[in-house]
Amino acid sequence: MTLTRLQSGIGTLLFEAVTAASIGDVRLGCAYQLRSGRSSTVQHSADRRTAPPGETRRPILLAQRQQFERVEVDLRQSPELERLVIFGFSGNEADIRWAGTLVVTTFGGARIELPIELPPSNAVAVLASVYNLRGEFVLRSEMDLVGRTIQEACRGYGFDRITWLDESHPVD
Amino acid sequence: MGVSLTKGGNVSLSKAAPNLTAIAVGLGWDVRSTAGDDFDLDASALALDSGHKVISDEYFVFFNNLKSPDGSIEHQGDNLTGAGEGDDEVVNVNFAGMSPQIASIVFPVSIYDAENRRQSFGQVRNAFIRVVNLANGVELARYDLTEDASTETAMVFGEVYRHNAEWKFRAIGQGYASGLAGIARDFGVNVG
Repeated sequence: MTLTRLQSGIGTLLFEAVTAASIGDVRLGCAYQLRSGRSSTVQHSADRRTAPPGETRRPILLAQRQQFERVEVDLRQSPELERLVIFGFSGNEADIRWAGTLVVTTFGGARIELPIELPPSNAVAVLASVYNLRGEFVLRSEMDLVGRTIQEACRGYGFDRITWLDESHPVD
Repeated sequence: MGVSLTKGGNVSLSKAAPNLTAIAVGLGWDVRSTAGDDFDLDASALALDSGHKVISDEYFVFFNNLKSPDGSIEHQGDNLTGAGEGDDEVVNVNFAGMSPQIASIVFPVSIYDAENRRQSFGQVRNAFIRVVNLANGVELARYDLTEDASTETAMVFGEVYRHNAEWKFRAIGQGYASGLAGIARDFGVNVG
Protein backbone atom coordinates (compact mmCIF):
# COMPACT_ATOMS: atom_id res chain seq x y z
CA MET A 1 0.00 0.00 0.00
CA THR A 2 1.05 3.59 -0.51
CA LEU A 3 1.10 6.14 2.28
CA THR A 4 0.18 9.67 1.22
CA ARG A 5 2.76 12.42 1.33
CA LEU A 6 1.14 13.57 4.58
CA GLN A 7 1.32 10.10 6.13
CA SER A 8 4.90 9.88 4.84
CA GLY A 9 5.93 13.33 6.00
CA ILE A 10 4.37 14.29 9.33
CA GLY A 11 5.26 12.90 12.73
CA THR A 12 6.52 9.40 13.29
CA LEU A 13 5.92 6.08 11.55
CA LEU A 14 6.08 3.24 14.04
CA PHE A 15 6.78 -0.44 13.36
CA GLU A 16 6.09 -2.78 16.27
CA ALA A 17 6.30 -6.57 16.35
CA VAL A 18 3.35 -7.66 18.47
CA THR A 19 4.12 -11.27 19.33
CA ALA A 20 3.51 -13.58 22.27
CA ALA A 21 6.48 -14.56 24.41
CA SER A 22 5.54 -18.21 23.89
CA ILE A 23 6.54 -18.21 20.21
CA GLY A 24 10.18 -17.49 20.97
CA ASP A 25 12.63 -14.68 21.56
CA VAL A 26 11.57 -12.36 18.72
CA ARG A 27 13.87 -9.43 18.05
CA LEU A 28 13.39 -6.65 15.54
CA GLY A 29 15.81 -4.81 13.32
CA CYS A 30 15.84 -2.55 10.31
CA ALA A 31 18.18 -2.25 7.35
CA TYR A 32 18.12 1.12 5.66
CA GLN A 33 19.55 3.12 2.81
CA LEU A 34 19.67 6.91 2.95
CA ARG A 35 19.62 9.33 0.02
CA SER A 36 23.25 10.07 0.85
CA GLY A 37 24.03 6.48 -0.05
CA ARG A 38 24.73 5.49 3.51
CA SER A 39 23.42 2.07 4.41
CA SER A 40 23.41 0.13 7.68
CA THR A 41 21.11 -1.40 10.28
CA VAL A 42 19.47 -0.53 13.59
CA GLN A 43 18.78 -3.23 16.18
CA HIS A 44 17.79 -2.56 19.77
CA SER A 45 19.16 -5.91 20.93
CA ALA A 46 22.63 -5.09 19.59
CA ASP A 47 22.58 -1.57 21.05
CA ARG A 48 22.56 -0.16 17.54
CA ARG A 49 19.70 2.17 18.17
CA THR A 50 19.98 5.11 15.82
CA ALA A 51 20.42 5.91 12.18
CA PRO A 52 22.67 7.46 11.16
CA PRO A 53 24.87 5.65 13.72
CA GLY A 54 25.68 7.80 16.74
CA GLU A 55 23.06 10.43 15.86
CA THR A 56 21.32 10.81 19.19
CA ARG A 57 19.96 14.36 18.89
CA ARG A 58 17.97 13.79 15.77
CA PRO A 59 18.03 10.26 14.41
CA ILE A 60 16.09 9.34 11.30
CA LEU A 61 15.51 5.85 12.70
CA LEU A 62 15.30 4.83 16.33
CA ALA A 63 15.17 1.23 17.58
CA GLN A 64 13.55 0.89 20.99
CA ARG A 65 11.85 -1.61 23.23
CA GLN A 66 8.70 -1.00 25.21
CA GLN A 67 6.33 -3.94 25.62
CA PHE A 68 7.60 -5.11 22.21
CA GLU A 69 10.58 -4.19 20.09
CA ARG A 70 9.90 -1.31 17.74
CA VAL A 71 11.47 0.87 15.09
CA GLU A 72 10.45 4.50 14.70
CA VAL A 73 10.93 6.57 11.54
CA ASP A 74 11.18 10.33 11.98
CA LEU A 75 9.08 11.50 9.06
CA ARG A 76 10.34 15.04 9.30
CA GLN A 77 13.46 13.60 7.76
CA SER A 78 11.67 11.29 5.33
CA PRO A 79 13.21 13.01 2.28
CA GLU A 80 16.56 11.65 3.51
CA LEU A 81 15.33 8.04 3.48
CA GLU A 82 15.58 5.96 0.33
CA ARG A 83 14.30 2.61 1.59
CA LEU A 84 14.23 0.26 4.53
CA VAL A 85 13.29 -3.28 5.46
CA ILE A 86 12.06 -4.44 8.85
CA PHE A 87 13.35 -7.85 9.85
CA GLY A 88 12.73 -10.18 12.76
CA PHE A 89 15.07 -12.78 14.12
CA SER A 90 15.59 -15.10 17.05
CA GLY A 91 17.44 -13.59 19.98
CA ASN A 92 18.68 -16.99 21.21
CA GLU A 93 19.08 -18.86 17.89
CA ALA A 94 16.24 -21.24 18.78
CA ASP A 95 13.37 -21.65 16.33
CA ILE A 96 10.60 -19.10 16.43
CA ARG A 97 7.07 -20.40 15.94
CA TRP A 98 6.19 -17.35 13.90
CA ALA A 99 2.83 -15.75 14.70
CA GLY A 100 1.55 -12.35 15.68
CA THR A 101 1.38 -9.06 13.84
CA LEU A 102 3.70 -6.38 12.61
CA VAL A 103 1.74 -3.23 13.45
CA VAL A 104 2.53 -0.06 11.50
CA THR A 105 1.10 3.12 13.00
CA THR A 106 1.00 6.52 11.35
CA PHE A 107 1.14 9.83 13.17
CA GLY A 108 -2.57 10.34 12.60
CA GLY A 109 -3.30 7.05 14.32
CA ALA A 110 -4.00 4.84 11.29
CA ARG A 111 -2.95 1.23 11.97
CA ILE A 112 -1.78 -1.11 9.29
CA GLU A 113 -1.63 -4.67 10.55
CA LEU A 114 0.59 -7.15 8.75
CA PRO A 115 -0.05 -10.72 9.99
CA ILE A 116 3.15 -12.67 10.54
CA GLU A 117 2.51 -16.04 8.94
CA LEU A 118 5.66 -18.08 8.51
CA PRO A 119 6.75 -21.64 9.27
CA PRO A 120 8.78 -22.28 12.44
CA SER A 121 12.40 -21.35 11.81
CA ASN A 122 15.43 -19.68 13.28
CA ALA A 123 16.12 -17.90 9.98
CA VAL A 124 15.93 -14.14 9.68
CA ALA A 125 12.51 -13.03 8.45
CA VAL A 126 12.08 -9.87 6.43
CA LEU A 127 8.64 -8.72 7.55
CA ALA A 128 8.07 -5.51 5.59
CA SER A 129 9.73 -3.09 3.22
CA VAL A 130 9.31 0.61 2.61
CA TYR A 131 10.39 2.45 -0.51
CA ASN A 132 10.29 6.23 -0.71
CA LEU A 133 8.88 7.06 -4.14
CA ARG A 134 8.87 10.83 -4.65
CA GLY A 135 7.80 11.50 -1.08
CA GLU A 136 5.25 8.70 -0.84
CA PHE A 137 6.16 5.65 1.21
CA VAL A 138 5.25 2.38 -0.46
CA LEU A 139 4.80 -0.20 2.28
CA ARG A 140 4.85 -3.88 1.42
CA SER A 141 4.33 -6.94 3.56
CA GLU A 142 7.21 -9.32 2.78
CA MET A 143 7.00 -12.21 5.31
CA ASP A 144 10.06 -13.83 3.84
CA LEU A 145 12.46 -16.20 5.58
CA VAL A 146 15.43 -15.00 3.62
CA GLY A 147 18.67 -15.96 5.30
CA ARG A 148 20.39 -17.69 8.16
CA THR A 149 21.97 -14.44 9.33
CA ILE A 150 21.15 -10.74 9.32
CA GLN A 151 23.96 -10.24 6.84
CA GLU A 152 22.40 -12.78 4.44
CA ALA A 153 18.96 -11.25 4.84
CA CYS A 154 20.24 -7.76 4.12
CA ARG A 155 22.16 -8.95 1.07
CA GLY A 156 19.06 -10.80 -0.08
CA TYR A 157 17.24 -7.49 -0.18
CA GLY A 158 19.97 -5.64 -2.02
CA PHE A 159 21.72 -3.94 0.88
CA ASP A 160 25.09 -4.69 -0.61
CA ARG A 161 26.82 -1.48 0.43
CA ILE A 162 27.02 -2.52 4.08
CA THR A 163 30.42 -3.58 5.37
CA TRP A 164 30.06 -6.31 7.98
CA LEU A 165 32.07 -6.85 11.14
CA ASP A 166 30.42 -10.23 11.55
CA GLU A 167 27.17 -11.89 10.49
CA SER A 168 25.06 -9.59 12.65
CA HIS A 169 26.92 -6.32 13.02
CA PRO A 170 27.77 -3.76 10.32
CA VAL A 171 30.84 -1.59 10.51
CA ASP A 172 29.80 2.04 10.82
CA MET B 1 9.47 48.70 0.67
CA GLY B 2 5.86 47.55 0.74
CA VAL B 3 3.02 48.23 3.10
CA SER B 4 3.83 47.27 6.68
CA LEU B 5 0.82 45.66 8.31
CA THR B 6 -0.29 45.05 11.85
CA LYS B 7 -2.25 42.00 12.99
CA GLY B 8 -5.55 41.78 11.12
CA GLY B 9 -4.55 44.38 8.58
CA ASN B 10 -4.92 43.76 4.87
CA VAL B 11 -3.74 45.21 1.60
CA SER B 12 -4.75 44.76 -2.02
CA LEU B 13 -1.87 43.18 -3.88
CA SER B 14 -3.62 43.75 -7.19
CA LYS B 15 -3.81 47.49 -6.57
CA ALA B 16 -0.25 47.67 -5.32
CA ALA B 17 0.96 45.93 -8.48
CA PRO B 18 -1.45 46.05 -11.42
CA ASN B 19 -1.01 43.03 -13.73
CA LEU B 20 0.38 41.02 -10.85
CA THR B 21 0.70 37.37 -11.90
CA ALA B 22 2.98 35.73 -9.36
CA ILE B 23 4.29 36.39 -5.88
CA ALA B 24 6.92 35.00 -3.58
CA VAL B 25 5.84 34.68 0.03
CA GLY B 26 8.90 34.87 2.25
CA LEU B 27 8.78 33.77 5.85
CA GLY B 28 11.52 34.32 8.38
CA TRP B 29 12.39 33.92 12.04
CA ASP B 30 15.20 33.76 14.53
CA VAL B 31 15.30 31.44 17.49
CA ARG B 32 16.62 32.14 20.95
CA SER B 33 20.06 30.67 21.32
CA THR B 34 19.77 27.58 23.45
CA ALA B 35 21.93 24.77 24.70
CA GLY B 36 19.04 22.33 24.27
CA ASP B 37 17.64 20.69 21.18
CA ASP B 38 17.93 22.39 17.82
CA PHE B 39 14.99 24.44 16.65
CA ASP B 40 13.51 23.54 13.31
CA LEU B 41 10.71 25.69 11.96
CA ASP B 42 8.82 24.75 8.83
CA ALA B 43 6.72 26.95 6.58
CA SER B 44 3.85 25.50 4.64
CA ALA B 45 0.85 26.61 2.59
CA LEU B 46 -2.74 25.43 2.45
CA ALA B 47 -4.97 26.28 -0.50
CA LEU B 48 -8.52 26.68 0.76
CA ASP B 49 -11.94 26.80 -0.85
CA SER B 50 -14.63 29.36 -0.10
CA GLY B 51 -15.60 27.35 2.99
CA HIS B 52 -12.08 27.81 4.36
CA LYS B 53 -11.27 24.11 3.98
CA VAL B 54 -8.39 22.65 2.03
CA ILE B 55 -9.23 21.88 -1.62
CA SER B 56 -7.77 18.38 -1.18
CA ASP B 57 -4.95 16.88 0.86
CA GLU B 58 -2.59 17.44 -2.07
CA TYR B 59 -3.13 21.19 -1.71
CA PHE B 60 -1.30 21.10 1.62
CA VAL B 61 2.14 22.18 0.41
CA PHE B 62 4.97 21.45 2.81
CA PHE B 63 8.46 19.99 2.89
CA ASN B 64 7.27 16.55 1.75
CA ASN B 65 4.80 17.86 -0.84
CA LEU B 66 6.51 20.76 -2.51
CA LYS B 67 3.99 21.57 -5.22
CA SER B 68 0.19 21.80 -5.45
CA PRO B 69 -1.51 19.61 -8.09
CA ASP B 70 -2.22 22.62 -10.34
CA GLY B 71 1.40 23.74 -9.99
CA SER B 72 0.38 27.18 -8.77
CA ILE B 73 1.86 26.89 -5.27
CA GLU B 74 5.45 25.78 -4.93
CA HIS B 75 7.55 25.49 -1.81
CA GLN B 76 11.11 26.51 -2.59
CA GLY B 77 12.70 24.17 -0.10
CA ASP B 78 13.50 23.66 3.50
CA ASN B 79 15.77 25.53 5.86
CA LEU B 80 16.54 23.30 8.82
CA THR B 81 18.13 25.90 11.08
CA GLY B 82 16.67 29.37 10.45
CA ALA B 83 20.23 30.69 10.41
CA GLY B 84 21.05 33.87 8.53
CA GLU B 85 19.14 36.99 7.63
CA GLY B 86 16.29 37.39 5.18
CA ASP B 87 13.69 34.83 4.21
CA ASP B 88 14.19 31.43 5.80
CA GLU B 89 11.68 29.73 3.55
CA VAL B 90 9.83 30.88 0.45
CA VAL B 91 6.61 29.74 -1.19
CA ASN B 92 5.92 30.91 -4.74
CA VAL B 93 2.34 31.48 -5.81
CA ASN B 94 1.38 31.80 -9.46
CA PHE B 95 -2.06 33.35 -9.87
CA ALA B 96 -2.14 32.81 -13.63
CA GLY B 97 -2.41 29.02 -13.54
CA MET B 98 -4.30 28.75 -10.31
CA SER B 99 -7.34 26.53 -9.86
CA PRO B 100 -10.46 28.73 -9.67
CA GLN B 101 -11.54 26.69 -6.64
CA ILE B 102 -8.82 28.33 -4.56
CA ALA B 103 -10.30 31.17 -2.57
CA SER B 104 -7.37 31.72 -0.25
CA ILE B 105 -3.96 30.43 0.73
CA VAL B 106 -2.84 30.45 4.34
CA PHE B 107 0.79 30.28 5.39
CA PRO B 108 1.50 28.50 8.67
CA VAL B 109 4.86 28.06 10.34
CA SER B 110 5.31 25.20 12.79
CA ILE B 111 8.02 24.09 15.17
CA TYR B 112 9.13 20.56 14.47
CA ASP B 113 8.63 18.11 17.36
CA ALA B 114 7.82 21.05 19.65
CA GLU B 115 6.04 19.02 22.29
CA ASN B 116 8.86 16.57 22.86
CA ARG B 117 11.44 19.34 22.77
CA ARG B 118 9.36 21.65 24.96
CA GLN B 119 9.65 24.44 22.44
CA SER B 120 7.18 27.15 21.51
CA PHE B 121 6.88 30.41 19.62
CA GLY B 122 7.74 32.14 22.90
CA GLN B 123 11.32 31.26 22.01
CA VAL B 124 11.07 32.62 18.47
CA ARG B 125 12.02 36.19 17.64
CA ASN B 126 11.86 38.49 14.63
CA ALA B 127 9.23 36.43 12.84
CA PHE B 128 7.83 37.93 9.68
CA ILE B 129 5.97 37.23 6.48
CA ARG B 130 6.36 39.31 3.37
CA VAL B 131 4.94 39.28 -0.13
CA VAL B 132 7.17 40.05 -3.10
CA ASN B 133 6.20 40.58 -6.74
CA LEU B 134 8.05 37.79 -8.53
CA ALA B 135 8.20 39.81 -11.76
CA ASN B 136 10.42 42.53 -10.36
CA GLY B 137 11.38 41.60 -6.79
CA VAL B 138 9.50 44.52 -5.27
CA GLU B 139 8.13 43.91 -1.78
CA LEU B 140 4.39 44.54 -1.72
CA ALA B 141 3.50 43.85 1.90
CA ARG B 142 5.10 42.81 5.15
CA TYR B 143 3.92 41.75 8.58
CA ASP B 144 6.31 41.57 11.53
CA LEU B 145 4.85 39.37 14.22
CA THR B 146 5.27 40.94 17.60
CA GLU B 147 3.14 38.94 20.01
CA ASP B 148 4.60 36.64 22.60
CA ALA B 149 3.21 33.19 21.93
CA SER B 150 4.57 31.20 24.81
CA THR B 151 2.46 28.08 24.37
CA GLU B 152 1.88 27.98 20.64
CA THR B 153 3.79 25.46 18.58
CA ALA B 154 2.47 26.58 15.22
CA MET B 155 1.20 29.84 13.86
CA VAL B 156 -0.58 31.05 10.77
CA PHE B 157 1.46 34.07 9.73
CA GLY B 158 -0.72 35.38 6.92
CA GLU B 159 -3.20 34.73 4.17
CA VAL B 160 -3.48 35.60 0.49
CA TYR B 161 -7.10 35.65 -0.64
CA ARG B 162 -9.41 36.56 -3.48
CA HIS B 163 -11.75 39.49 -3.04
CA ASN B 164 -13.90 40.04 -6.11
CA ALA B 165 -11.33 40.37 -8.90
CA GLU B 166 -8.47 41.27 -6.59
CA TRP B 167 -5.85 39.33 -4.68
CA LYS B 168 -5.31 40.63 -1.18
CA PHE B 169 -3.00 39.82 1.71
CA ARG B 170 -4.01 39.73 5.35
CA ALA B 171 -1.73 39.65 8.39
CA ILE B 172 -3.04 36.95 10.74
CA GLY B 173 -0.60 35.89 13.48
CA GLN B 174 -2.90 33.27 14.97
CA GLY B 175 -1.21 30.66 17.14
CA TYR B 176 -2.01 26.99 17.59
CA ALA B 177 -0.93 24.76 20.46
CA SER B 178 -1.36 21.61 18.40
CA GLY B 179 1.47 21.98 15.89
CA LEU B 180 1.39 21.51 12.17
CA ALA B 181 -0.90 18.49 12.45
CA GLY B 182 -3.40 20.59 14.43
CA ILE B 183 -3.43 23.29 11.79
CA ALA B 184 -3.77 20.72 9.04
CA ARG B 185 -6.72 19.08 10.80
CA ASP B 186 -8.38 22.45 11.44
CA PHE B 187 -8.36 23.17 7.74
CA GLY B 188 -9.73 19.73 6.86
CA VAL B 189 -6.52 17.91 5.90
CA ASN B 190 -6.57 14.17 6.59
CA VAL B 191 -3.20 13.55 8.20
CA GLY B 192 -4.00 9.81 8.32
